[in-house]
Amino acid sequence: MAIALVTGQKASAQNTASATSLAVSFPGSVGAGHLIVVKATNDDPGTVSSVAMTGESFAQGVHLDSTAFNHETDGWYAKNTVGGQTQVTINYSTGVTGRSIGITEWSGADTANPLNQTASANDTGTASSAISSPDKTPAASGALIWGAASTNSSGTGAMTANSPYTLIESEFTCFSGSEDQIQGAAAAVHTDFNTTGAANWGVVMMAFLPASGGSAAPLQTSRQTRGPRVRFFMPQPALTSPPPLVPNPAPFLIPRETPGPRFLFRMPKAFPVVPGTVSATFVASAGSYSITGSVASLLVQRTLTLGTGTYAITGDAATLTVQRKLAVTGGTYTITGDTASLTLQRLMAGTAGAYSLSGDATGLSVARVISAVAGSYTLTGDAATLTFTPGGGGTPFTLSGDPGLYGLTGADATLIYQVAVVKGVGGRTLIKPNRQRKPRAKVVEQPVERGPEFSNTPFIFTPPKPQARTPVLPRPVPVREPEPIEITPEQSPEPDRSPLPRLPQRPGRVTRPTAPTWTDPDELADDEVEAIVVGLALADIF
Amino acid sequence: MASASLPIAPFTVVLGNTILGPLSITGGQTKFVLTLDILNLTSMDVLAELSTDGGTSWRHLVSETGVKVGTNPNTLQPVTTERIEATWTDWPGGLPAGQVRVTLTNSVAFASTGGSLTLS
Repeated sequence: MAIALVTGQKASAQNTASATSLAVSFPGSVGAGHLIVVKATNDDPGTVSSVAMTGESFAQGVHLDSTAFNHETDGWYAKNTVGGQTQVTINYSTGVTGRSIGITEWSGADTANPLNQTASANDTGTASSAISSPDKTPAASGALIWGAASTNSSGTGAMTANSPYTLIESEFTCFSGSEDQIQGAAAAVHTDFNTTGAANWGVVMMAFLPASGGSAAPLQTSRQTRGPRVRFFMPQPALTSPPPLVPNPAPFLIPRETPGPRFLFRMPKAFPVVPGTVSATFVASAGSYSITGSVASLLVQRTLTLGTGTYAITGDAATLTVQRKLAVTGGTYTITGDTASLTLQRLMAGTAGAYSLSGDATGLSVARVISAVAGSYTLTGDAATLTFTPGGGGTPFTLSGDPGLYGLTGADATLIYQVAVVKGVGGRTLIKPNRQRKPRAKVVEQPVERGPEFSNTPFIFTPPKPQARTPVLPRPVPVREPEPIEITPEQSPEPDRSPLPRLPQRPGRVTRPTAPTWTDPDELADDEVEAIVVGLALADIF
Repeated sequence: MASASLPIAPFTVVLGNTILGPLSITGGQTKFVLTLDILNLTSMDVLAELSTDGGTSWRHLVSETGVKVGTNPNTLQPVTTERIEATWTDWPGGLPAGQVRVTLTNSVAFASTGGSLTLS
């Protein structure tokens, strides 16, 4: 697993006044199993006595005393984080001036002994290339090379990072900064800052090793708040190109942001199954969520249930199978960066706000359901060969529907995946909702303006009658005390390819539709409409 | 993203807690700056928090303890201005809309010439 900065998870603070501590918070809660790296600086005569975060243990990785300008530069870190907190505090041995803190959160680092090399030096190199010394070689490729520097003044400008480093932060108050790079092949390395204008500088370096094990590495999924234990069972069949329709009955327990009943999801036949590991990071606090870092050959299910705020999901790479649910009451939501060969399911239910989805590329199989009573919804950037292309070809489209039909609003909503397969050949655009929900929605058809793929064809989805609007929600069950996330891909059962049993439908439960199927649009009749419920949630099956 | 600023007029920082703000922000800000004259300060703690639910709950942004007038070891001059900055350059979308407040927990009352609170 590669080391990666958790999107959004960096912060810094500084103050010239004297004090005995300085604390700053991450935008979101730290995830479990991660690495936190801290830059801590201060003027003499004090030193950093400890770095604290509730539930975490920090160790000093490197320390440099720059006597030329009466300053101290430290690197601290916490490995294999428990997660769930935001605030990092530096405590000083006495009141000191010139305090600064810079914090970053990283995923993919070795959880046992991540710190592999350190180095530090005063006034080594030149002001424009202030470096740590001596060079050190990490024991493995893909190491995180982290550096920090302090100077006697900012000189002619802000401290910057020299290539190949990326500046994490720098500031004028105390004249310090930090930087990072993810090294390719292991090689001798030093950190390198541009401190032009400074007469003196001190530079430190820490090298952290990535987790070993490649695709067999344990899953690392963090949760934002206390909740039930989460267990993933990874499916076994491999994905080929184009994605085959492989049955996947393996159960999934989905992490959720708030306490509530457990959900069981069974993957429908409609979705190809991808072996491998899951690397998904949930970072959340009140009003802010970010998800990043999924890599190839993953099967990821994501659920976000939240109130207001701003949410960003970025960085998914090739051959992902992604299921996403956003259930919200307001705010701004952006999903970007999905690339080829994805099978992506997105579901958004809201009452107000603005939503945008963009960046899906060729070869996607996308199913999206949006139900809302107000707000503005735009989907752009979908490219050719999508299995489901609402509006298609980058043309924004709007769905105004009945939230009850999809039953996906509110916290702890039962997750019902609906895949609407739309066929637009012959001038018709049709949509058929979940068969389990009666009565069926009325569909207003509009002539296709261009081509059988109706790439520019808007369609209007009319809500069903009121009596059909009550969503079938799981019966709440008591929330259990949280337990460590257990992710045991090697325990994944072999796929059961037998048909899934029909489950009894009764209040408080959601029953999977009979024989969910995936229909290739190319195999449909010209005006055929297909909607598939592709997943279900059972609140108390476990 | 609009900046939000709260001028702090000269005032007496009383013994105990003094709350500066709350300052309403529209969201998107990534930098917090508090400046305050502390020439007459003995010792205090500073806590900056954010609320996105109208002030019902508050989350920590930045804080420090044991603030006092210190001496810069390089200039040998006393540092009589509290200037605390915090930056979240990668916060997705910046700080959410809400309110920001600063709580001063002071050990000995003192007169301050004021300062400002700015979110940008």
